[in-house]
Amino acid sequence: MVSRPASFVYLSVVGNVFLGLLFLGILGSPRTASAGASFIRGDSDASGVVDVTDAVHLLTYKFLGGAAPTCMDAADSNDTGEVDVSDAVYTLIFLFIGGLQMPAPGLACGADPTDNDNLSCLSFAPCPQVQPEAQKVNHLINRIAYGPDPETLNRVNAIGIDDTIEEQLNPSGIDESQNTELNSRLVALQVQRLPSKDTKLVPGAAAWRYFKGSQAPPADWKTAGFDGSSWIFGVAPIGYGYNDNATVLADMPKNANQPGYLSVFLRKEFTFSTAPANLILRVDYDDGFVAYLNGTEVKRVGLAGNPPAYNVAATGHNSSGFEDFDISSKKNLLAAGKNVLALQVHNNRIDGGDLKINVELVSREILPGDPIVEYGNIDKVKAMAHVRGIYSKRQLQTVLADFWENHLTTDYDKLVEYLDNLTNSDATDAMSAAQAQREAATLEAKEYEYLLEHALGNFGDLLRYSAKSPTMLVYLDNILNVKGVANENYAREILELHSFGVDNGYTQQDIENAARAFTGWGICKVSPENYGDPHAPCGPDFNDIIFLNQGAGWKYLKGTAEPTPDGNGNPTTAWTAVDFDDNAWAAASDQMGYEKGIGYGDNDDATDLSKLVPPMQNNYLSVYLRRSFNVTDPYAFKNLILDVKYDDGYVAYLNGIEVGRTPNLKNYGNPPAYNRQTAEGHEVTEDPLLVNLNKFLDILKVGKNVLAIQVHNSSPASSDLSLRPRLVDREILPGSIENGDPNGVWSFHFFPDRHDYTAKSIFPGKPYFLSIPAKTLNDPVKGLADANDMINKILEALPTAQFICTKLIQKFVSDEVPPALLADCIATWNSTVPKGNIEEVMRTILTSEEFWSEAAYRAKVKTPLEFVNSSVRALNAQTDGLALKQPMLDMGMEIFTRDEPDGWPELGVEWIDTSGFLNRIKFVQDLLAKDSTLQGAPLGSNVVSIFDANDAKTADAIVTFMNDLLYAGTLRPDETAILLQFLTTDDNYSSLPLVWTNPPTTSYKSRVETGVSLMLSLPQWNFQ
Amino acid sequence: MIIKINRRDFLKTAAGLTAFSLGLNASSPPIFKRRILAADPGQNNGNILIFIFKRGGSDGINEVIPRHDSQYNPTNRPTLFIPEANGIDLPGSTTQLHPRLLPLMDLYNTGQIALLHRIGYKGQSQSHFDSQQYWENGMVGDNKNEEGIFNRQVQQTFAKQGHPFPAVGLSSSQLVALKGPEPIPNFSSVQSYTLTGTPAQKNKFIGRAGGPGLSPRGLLGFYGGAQDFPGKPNRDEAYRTGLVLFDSMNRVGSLNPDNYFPANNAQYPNSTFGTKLKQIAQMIKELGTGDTPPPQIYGVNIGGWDTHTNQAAAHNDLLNQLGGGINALSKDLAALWDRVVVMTMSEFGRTSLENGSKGTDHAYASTLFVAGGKVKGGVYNCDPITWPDGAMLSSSSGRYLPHKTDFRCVIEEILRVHFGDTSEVINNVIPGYDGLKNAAPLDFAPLGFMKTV
Repeated sequence: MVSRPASFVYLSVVGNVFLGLLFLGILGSPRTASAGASFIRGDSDASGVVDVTDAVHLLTYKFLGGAAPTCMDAADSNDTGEVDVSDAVYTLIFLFIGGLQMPAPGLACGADPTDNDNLSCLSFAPCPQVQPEAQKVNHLINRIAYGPDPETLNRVNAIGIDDTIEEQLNPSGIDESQNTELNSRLVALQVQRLPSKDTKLVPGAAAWRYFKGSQAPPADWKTAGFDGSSWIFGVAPIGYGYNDNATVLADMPKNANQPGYLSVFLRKEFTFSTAPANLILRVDYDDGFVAYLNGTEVKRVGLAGNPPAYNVAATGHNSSGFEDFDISSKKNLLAAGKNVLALQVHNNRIDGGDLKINVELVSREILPGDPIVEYGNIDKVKAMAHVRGIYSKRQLQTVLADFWENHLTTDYDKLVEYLDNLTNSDATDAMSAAQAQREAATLEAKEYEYLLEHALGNFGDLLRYSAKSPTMLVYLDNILNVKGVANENYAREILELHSFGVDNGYTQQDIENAARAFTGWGICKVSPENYGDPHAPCGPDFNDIIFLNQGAGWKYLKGTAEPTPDGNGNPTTAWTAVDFDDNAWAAASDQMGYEKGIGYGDNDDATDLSKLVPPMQNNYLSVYLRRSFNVTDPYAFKNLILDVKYDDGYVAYLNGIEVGRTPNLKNYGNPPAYNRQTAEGHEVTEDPLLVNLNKFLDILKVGKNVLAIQVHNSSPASSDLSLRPRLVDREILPGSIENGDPNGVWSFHFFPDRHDYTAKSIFPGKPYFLSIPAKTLNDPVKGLADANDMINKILEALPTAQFICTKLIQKFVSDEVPPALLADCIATWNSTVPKGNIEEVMRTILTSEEFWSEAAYRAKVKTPLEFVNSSVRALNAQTDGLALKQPMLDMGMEIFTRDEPDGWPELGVEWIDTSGFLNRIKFVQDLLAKDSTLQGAPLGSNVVSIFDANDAKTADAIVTFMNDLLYAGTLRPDETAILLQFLTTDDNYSSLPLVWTNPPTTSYKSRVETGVSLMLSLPQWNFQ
Repeated sequence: MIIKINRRDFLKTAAGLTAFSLGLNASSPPIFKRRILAADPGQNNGNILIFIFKRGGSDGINEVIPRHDSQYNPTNRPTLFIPEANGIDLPGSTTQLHPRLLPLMDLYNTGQIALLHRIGYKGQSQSHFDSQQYWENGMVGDNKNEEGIFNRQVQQTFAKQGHPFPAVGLSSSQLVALKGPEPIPNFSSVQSYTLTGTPAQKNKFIGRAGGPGLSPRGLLGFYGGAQDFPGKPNRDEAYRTGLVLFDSMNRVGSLNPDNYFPANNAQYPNSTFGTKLKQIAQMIKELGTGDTPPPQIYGVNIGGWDTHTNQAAAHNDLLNQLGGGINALSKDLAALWDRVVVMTMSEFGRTSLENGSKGTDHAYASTLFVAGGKVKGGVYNCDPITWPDGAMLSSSSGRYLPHKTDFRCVIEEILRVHFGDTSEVINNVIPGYDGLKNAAPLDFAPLGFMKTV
């Protein structure tokens, strides 16, 4: 225990009030909870002196509804045990007439020797206070735990304050293995799956042959032998309504202009190389379907009949993304060579508002290894943190984990967006939105669990982990930080927010140099055994065979008018068809391809449109292109990829079917009109757009095929336009870890070619100055050392000790940081090897005079997290954690999804506003209104049973029990009177005695519940 | 780490508290009537200010484009450069407006919007948190002061004039500019600002503060009574906030957003931000009673301006919302437009040079827009005479656009002209204003964007 000389007096300015020192010797000495504060007799307004304002104060209180004295004993000038007008008279005679003495303790600070009256003295600021034991216990539980509950209160009372602190500082000694309240809830929030490898036999959003169900199709339509070549192609999703279909069946719904039809029949041919272990059919559908594999039914939803007739309606069903159906039992229907997946899809009514179908067929191989534990989305992770905060016995560790998580905050939403936008090397979308959420949530949980495990460890471990955590690398853009054009975001915040604190020991120049040190930092998905190795192999390996590149055959048409308008002049795709006559089109240079294209500007075009009359710039906005090519076997391609460098946007077609479109032409018409300009610019030097054509192989013909492209400029005056296309067949090599691989793990990776190897001088003139010499280009180990060395300097620097100690003191003691305590914390921080041992720093704080001073008691405003967790704990309430998301949002604190990198405020003033207070009241009302005894209640309490168990069966006993539990008995008599009145009246404040019965009456139960919700709505409950 | 909030003696105020009962009566509670102290607040002219805080630091250079600066070019801004063909001409200036701010052109063409460029302050902080704090507390260099500039305006004028509900923040947590010892209500939406239960249950729960002949009851018995540990941190704020909550909830409860139809076919952006602006307009029209004006200062946030990566698309969307929102307010409030000022704020501008992630980093000065019927429209601080070629990169580091006018000078002009603040009041609202002005007369030279008659 840290101790200062007894003569040291610490004075803290809080408002205009000086609060005295609590001497250490008092700690641990047993005191009764009823011991009142030290006070000056007659000093009713607690000003420190007895004068005429005391008499006025007392009279205002008694007769004008003024505030009650905080110390009734002080107001009781004549020590009669009652505060009344005679006290004011006594004071006035004492002051102006004389002849009277102030009864003990008189005019010097002291306790009431006649403390057998009904008067309380809860606080009296001018006198140094001895803190009653009950308040000390309450204080400790408020700060190192998420508030009191009956069990914790009993535990601390049993083992004492000192042992409680030591127990909590060493959480590994607290056995949680039998804590089923916690463990069962944690497991419920996780999902487990076996490692597996998926191969798409039929990819989603593929091209299908389809037949409109205005009549029955030929009987053998679903068999492999049926010749479907006369059916039309459409790219899935196929349907109408909601503007979410790639192929729109505008004639499907019946209306005044058209008869409509109820069903549509689809066929897709596919081959496979390895017989699948498991076969998964994934269907996104509205409304019903039957699926057939080589003519045999494998799955149906919402349809009757064998087979259902073309004109029967399905049961209604709304599209909600892919649903997985395990059809492994049907896998022996697969045959070597050509197979056919066929579906009939029916609407629920012929004049319905929508229909949709999108299908994948997946071969799934279960891999050896332990089950993978994941969190489905961030709601589960938020709930996990709440559940730990509420039910864990390692309360201090959990409180600190939440503190570190907030200190090193990241935003889940940004991570999801990043993951969702990734592609695999075969140019397909790397993962579904659901997988992106699952991966991001699991990464957030993993980070939280590290911070929890090391919550009382060394700060350096936390900072280093955070710097290399994929969540942080994405959140503060360090993955985008490359030489020459550094991104300063993380370099700034690691100093400003994570270590030094704002403007504390660094300059803007330091930030810019620190950003250069961090260049090359990034993330990569690696196989689990390579996790944590920044130099592990990154990215998939593949071989490209160029199928179509530079050469003769490209024809083009200047976009001065619609190439093939319909009768109304509207654009059509007739010019993209295989048999379209392009003889009138001009021939492009035979050098056109991926290296030199068609366009103008930037000197990268084999066919230069600025050299023609008129030049393209300021005259026309688009160019139309066609090239025919031969295919001998459409199904022999591994991954046929259309790879285009472009400026500014394009739409590509294969044999008349749209196969790819740049985002800047999205929603600009099918096809975009010739005079459309793109939404945004794009340069050939930026990422090309790759389109995987596997799902369009059916479109290819043996023999002649045509690739057609329309390319558009961003504005007529734009300085350049270019299109540089090629077709490649890409073979992904075995062992590759793709971005979307569900078995890979995201890991910190150092990219040597992105690092700035020039010399850096960081923190010049400071004791923690770091001079980094220029290093050998592309040396991964030396390059990575730059920022690692800098982090080590940061961890040794005094500003880090100052800032982290300040934040810890503000969290655990008071918003206002006592300088002496800060000095002690910094001394402890610097005394450990390595510096920054959190357990030792916390021991210094928790055993300090300042922590145990009267001034610190209930001096902190609860954050919403503290308010929510403490409310649930106080009532022994039940929650799955998930139900706490909305109240936290309402109170303005969304853990794990804060946009700003500074974390949620820890200072009280930030959490006091009307909306926050209202939502706190709403939450406790909701908590009390819901009954936890209901099966599977996500949130609820049963306070009546708590009171029954503690034999609190009268209004008086209930108020006393809650006053002791929540407030260490500090509610004043005038306040408990309000609560008693509330419990013993009806809604109109007419008297209605509270009568306990077994079972309790509805009136008893509802009044007790609303009464307790009132007790948790008090201003007092917002403080800890 | 002292949080300097001017504390008030709540107990003295509460002593004057009489029958403060939530009930369903809408009379103004006397606790908001306070003795006149120090500066004379003058007569309340009933005018209204709406401020929009663009959180994150906005790229002013792409909002009001300095065509006369040759450093505005595709080399410095490879993906963010806006070609002249795409910008919107601003007649009477050498600048252009971002294409997504087209909805502001009606106001520009009728002289009702001032586009101020190069607004910032000396010693610009590039920390979001510090710089927002300075913009909101009006005290550059003091990042601990939590008293908002508009809270001081309320303290100095409206509260003294007896306004029971002088300001409101449309935000789930109160904007710092509105925080302070005079608690100002905040809520994210009108609909959310209510308790559940029958009227009788609500009345019983909320209760009353008590007073002569009336015993305290329910929650107000606590919030209106003596504090639990007087003198401890945040007691005054917490207790007074509770009282303000129940009073303002009662007043706002009279509004029905489902039954509000904006005037003149005003179309608010279909977003949370747009909905908040619409509810502000409804409050302006419906919360005034008799001689008491509706709330006079409204604060609202629009986040997402910290465009370190892929700025173009994000900035486009934000400007759509901002331009559309101000346009909708001007139409919806057309009948009152002479009494309304809409002002934008943002903590800093962004680097003149694009970074390697198609975005921009933190820099110095940015734009500030002021719209209203009494605004002298035009472009300010963006002309070839005061903005020499290359000024975009003329900060000492050679990377940023420096400020020309201090943001407090802009706020001062609005407070002085629009609310009629006296010099004495101004010096209390923007602490030490005259001293600041004397020390840096150029930074504080009034721009004259408000009509004075």
